[in-house]
Amino acid sequence: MQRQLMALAVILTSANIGYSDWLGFRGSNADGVATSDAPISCDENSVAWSTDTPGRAVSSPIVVGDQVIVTSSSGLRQDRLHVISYDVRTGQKRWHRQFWATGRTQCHPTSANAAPTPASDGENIVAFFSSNDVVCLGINGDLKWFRGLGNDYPRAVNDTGMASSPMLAEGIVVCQVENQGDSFVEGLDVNNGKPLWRLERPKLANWTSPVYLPGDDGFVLLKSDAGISAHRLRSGEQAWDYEADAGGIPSMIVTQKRIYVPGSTFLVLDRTGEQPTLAWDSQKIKPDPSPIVAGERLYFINSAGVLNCLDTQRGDRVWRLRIGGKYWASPILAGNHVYAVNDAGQLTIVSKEGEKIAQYTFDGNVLGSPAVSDGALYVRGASKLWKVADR
Amino acid sequence: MKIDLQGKITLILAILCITCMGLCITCMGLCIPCIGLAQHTCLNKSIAQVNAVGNEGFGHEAAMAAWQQLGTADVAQAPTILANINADKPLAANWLRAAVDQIVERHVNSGKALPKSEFEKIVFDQAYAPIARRMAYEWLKECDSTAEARIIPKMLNDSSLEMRRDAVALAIKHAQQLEKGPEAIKQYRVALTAARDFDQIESIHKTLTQFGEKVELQQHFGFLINWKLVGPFDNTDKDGFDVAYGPEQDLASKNSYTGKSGEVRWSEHTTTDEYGTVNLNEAVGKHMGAVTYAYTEFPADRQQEVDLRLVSKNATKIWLNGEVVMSNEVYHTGSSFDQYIGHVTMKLGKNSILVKVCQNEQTEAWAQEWQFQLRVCDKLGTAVLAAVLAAK
Repeated sequence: MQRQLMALAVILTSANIGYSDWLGFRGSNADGVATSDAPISCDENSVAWSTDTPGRAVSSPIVVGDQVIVTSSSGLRQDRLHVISYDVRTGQKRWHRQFWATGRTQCHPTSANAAPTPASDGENIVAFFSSNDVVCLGINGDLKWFRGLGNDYPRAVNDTGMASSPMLAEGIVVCQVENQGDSFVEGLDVNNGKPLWRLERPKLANWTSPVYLPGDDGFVLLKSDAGISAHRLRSGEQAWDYEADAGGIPSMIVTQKRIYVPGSTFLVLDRTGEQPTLAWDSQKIKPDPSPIVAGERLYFINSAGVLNCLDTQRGDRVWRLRIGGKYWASPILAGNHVYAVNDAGQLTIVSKEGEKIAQYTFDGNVLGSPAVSDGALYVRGASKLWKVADR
Repeated sequence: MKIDLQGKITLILAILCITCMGLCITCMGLCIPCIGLAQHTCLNKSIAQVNAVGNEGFGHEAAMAAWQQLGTADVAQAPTILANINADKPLAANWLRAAVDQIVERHVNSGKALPKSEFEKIVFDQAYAPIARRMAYEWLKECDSTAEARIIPKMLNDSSLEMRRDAVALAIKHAQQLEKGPEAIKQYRVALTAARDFDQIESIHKTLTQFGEKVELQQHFGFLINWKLVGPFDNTDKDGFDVAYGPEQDLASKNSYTGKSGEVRWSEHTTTDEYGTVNLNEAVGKHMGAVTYAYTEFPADRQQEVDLRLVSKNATKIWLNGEVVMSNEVYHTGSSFDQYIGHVTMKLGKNSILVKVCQNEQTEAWAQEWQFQLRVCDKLGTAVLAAVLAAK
């Protein structure tokens, strides 16, 4: 553990990572938990700035230093890809890079080619799209490299749209491209975009995101309807697998001792040994978007729009609250509050004790999870970005 | 006139100075083009290194170094980079695009003017890649509020689908401003002839139909509507996709085969659907875990490169003249117009087209569709129609 903390300290000091950055899908640790508070009220006056963005997006914003980065896709065929940087203070556009999709761009009208959330390590910004195009940019928008995984594997087909967000850790980008056609996971060197390893995967539709499992040697965790597996980050070599119908939509959460796996059965695995072992499971826990784990509490929203809080020891219910609506966006936790934005753009702020604190409806659909940085909440609409901050 | 020694020395020095200045000016004159040539050579080398990138990260190291050069180039060099964007190199095109965006963005953000005439030359020169021409147009539009009105009306038959789309939208707008009558119909017909995008064609079709006009959609898109069908064959557990049933063994030359539940025979089918959809649930019957083959012949009056564009939520294979040209073992993940595109070569004369359409056994209401739609067109989506061949 000491080595891990030292390694983390080295990463934090050597890279351009700030304490309050939000570096990927569900935050820098992919657990939906912010390192800073966010506003606990929201009304029109709380919107520090907003800006229209081109095309459509269901991806989340990320925050890298003083920039908030978003992706979107535009055009009749969703074949124009955008990566845009805005100044966190003013909302002014810093830079805007566009690309032409090289893979399949078809997706359900609700979704967008810009469905995966970008990832960053503070120096590189990796944007991934449903068309399986991968772009690596520097923080000033300079191109590092561009790959077309759909160009490499044109039979990677899910015309509902792909949505798995890339993982970036230890200088390796992991892209999960699982579908009925060419189904694979690839590890890429962030320094040059070259493939380091490639895994054949089950030919099943899968929208979950790979999750980093830190250790003396880092691992990437993958899940699908066929099970859960851990792979060495540097080689892709499988370290272990765990057979389960682990589902293809909500993503996993890794804590120091456990792995939380939303699937047809909700699994909680103890990861302290070489092989994971079942801590407990439940047929009743059915997260619609990805859940949150913070300390001894598990929060999730079900398909009926009910926010649930459970004890992580055994899965006992602590409270539940109907907040209403359908949720694509995964909820997040900042300070002592859960933030959930439904598809219609309604933000609900709920205290850790289950009390509804505030509600505010943004002008537009919201399908991407919000980001939190330095006390502010960033909400991504299909064609808009809002910053919510204390007055 | 007598010149003293000091005067002679002064004169000699003056002559030397003038000679040196002359030499210097000559050298400068030689050097400036040399520097320009060196820059040009360097730019072209960088572009070539970027244009060499390939699949799976091939050529990335050299391209990354070259891109650093390109990204810092002067805006005057942006048109050269644009001119070297090749639509047949989609990976490299994106690297070059990012360089142009970075150069122009930096230039414009510093308050300097875009070299409009150079960009406009690229917009209008059909020799350049449509994507590069569109990119040049978008930067012009960003920096010149008059660019759209000046350029778009001339793009109705452009090789860039995006430019053409804007021009068609403008033509529709003009038609909408006219009173219902012959002039409006004429204007809509102009827009329809140029339109290649499904949504615009559908919109014009709807309006013209309201005007009492007939639009031959099947012909406009180039849908194949006359088929011979045979099925069902077995596709239990989706195993039939890779089984070569009779029609693909003998290229549809026999009259009957052993199907899933006994003998099956070819039957003629002409779809009347405006969008060329062949509904197999209606034409063959509703079967799950089943395969149907569809066969047609396409006469061509010359050898030509064409697109076969297919829509189907079912797993499909297509053979052109006995060769598999498209194969997608994907069931019910959604569909959209021109869902699968195969670039193929039609030969002069009769071309045989065999389509295998596999239905799985999903029970959900949204997974009951068993159908396909196939059209023949060029790269732009313009219909390529069957030729009338003279009988031998």
